[in-house]
Amino acid sequence: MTMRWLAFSAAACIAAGAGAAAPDTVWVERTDTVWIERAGHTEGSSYMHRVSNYNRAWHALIPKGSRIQYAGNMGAFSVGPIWKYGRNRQWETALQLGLIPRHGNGRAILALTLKEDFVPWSVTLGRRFSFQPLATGLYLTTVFDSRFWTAQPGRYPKGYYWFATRVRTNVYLGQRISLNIPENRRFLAKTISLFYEVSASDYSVIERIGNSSLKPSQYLSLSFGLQFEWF
Amino acid sequence: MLAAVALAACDMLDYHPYDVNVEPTNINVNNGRRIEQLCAAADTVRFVATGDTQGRYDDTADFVDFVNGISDSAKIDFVLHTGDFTDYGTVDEYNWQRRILNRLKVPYVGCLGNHDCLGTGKQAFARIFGPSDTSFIAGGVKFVLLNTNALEYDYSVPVPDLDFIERQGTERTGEFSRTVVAMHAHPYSDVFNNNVAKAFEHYINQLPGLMMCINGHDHNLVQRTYFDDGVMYYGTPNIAKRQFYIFTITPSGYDYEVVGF
Repeated sequence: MTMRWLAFSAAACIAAGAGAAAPDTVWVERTDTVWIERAGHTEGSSYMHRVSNYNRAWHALIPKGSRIQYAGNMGAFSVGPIWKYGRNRQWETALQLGLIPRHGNGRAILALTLKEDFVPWSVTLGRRFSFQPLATGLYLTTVFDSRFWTAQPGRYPKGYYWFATRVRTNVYLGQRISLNIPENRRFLAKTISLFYEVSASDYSVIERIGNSSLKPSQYLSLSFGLQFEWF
Repeated sequence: MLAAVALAACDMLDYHPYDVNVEPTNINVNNGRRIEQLCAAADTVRFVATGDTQGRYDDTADFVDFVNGISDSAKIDFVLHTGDFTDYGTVDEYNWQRRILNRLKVPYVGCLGNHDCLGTGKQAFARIFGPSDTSFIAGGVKFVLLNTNALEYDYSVPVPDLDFIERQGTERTGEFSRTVVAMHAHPYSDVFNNNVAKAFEHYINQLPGLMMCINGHDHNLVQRTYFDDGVMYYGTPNIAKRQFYIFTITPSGYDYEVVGF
């Protein structure tokens, strides 16, 4: 049987659920991964190992949730998928698309943010809630607008500006409170978290280092949002 | 207390460093008008020239305190800033600068600097200061502030705008007999359109009684000519040098001193 058929069969099995009757052997590894064994190939064979790795790699790319965030230097609102991983799922990667309103810019600007979060602890608060006392991380934001550049345009003498106007690096500290939805009441998400973050942009950190008169309310930014953990 | 915290928190809800979410204040136009009123009957005009205050809020605050301390006794009429309020053209930087400069007891006006153009900096400048080419008249002297940052426009719009310069010689002709030209980058600097350097000099020489040019960008105290016409260019040191000019224009000519703070 060809690999293509196998991939198709795998997709069909995932779509139909693990219990679907199929001529192949289907078993469930963890609750969310479906493996298929073709007749003649045993679990330990190198072929099945490759298939398994292939599945696992693609499976890891499926977003585990989504997020909507207000402010934080990535647009007025930004939304996008999140991925969670690590032993205690303490690491998160998010891709957030935001919109900077037109205001005095002349036109609205799209902003794309790649965000890496680290949420090391979770404290249970009663039956339904949990509290994450620390969320921290780093995010890079880029904008889709011709007025900005990553590599200095050719018109400038070499190394004229040492920075890129298009990409901003930010760091943040924050906290979250999460509502854990009981299994029988879940619709899309198993956990909904409300969070806030206090962040600093690269330029504001640089300016603060050189100027003691700048106040935290000037060089720090505040944002908040909701995170939906699907599975 | 709670209200103050809430207000500060609202201030911290930033959409993006380049989000030009500022009320139009038109500083150059409004302050130009104020200077015209204050100096309407004056035969002597005295002003401070500084520039390149980008990224130096502590020094800029010290400068403002110092000028406020002497402005009454020294009879300072206004402050001229030769541009580069910001390093990155962000709205934060503009706001932090003008929060300090707004404390000046005398009106201030400013040129557009090349750093001020970055990202949406041009749009922020337009909202905060108004047009980057502007003029006002004080004590019979026309002060012409010009955008000379051609490099930041990729030569796609006329910078410097020779038509604007020409119009300065024909508009409000009865109200002035002498002219001072201010800009960020002087001719033959790296951001000037040096293809029109001579044309620029030709046009500013047509302005009635051209006295001098004042520029920023070099970050150093410089007094020199760039052409054979004898027109002096006074380069303002950046604010980190903690020096500025005081120019005094009298009916018979002008004088200047360099003041440290």
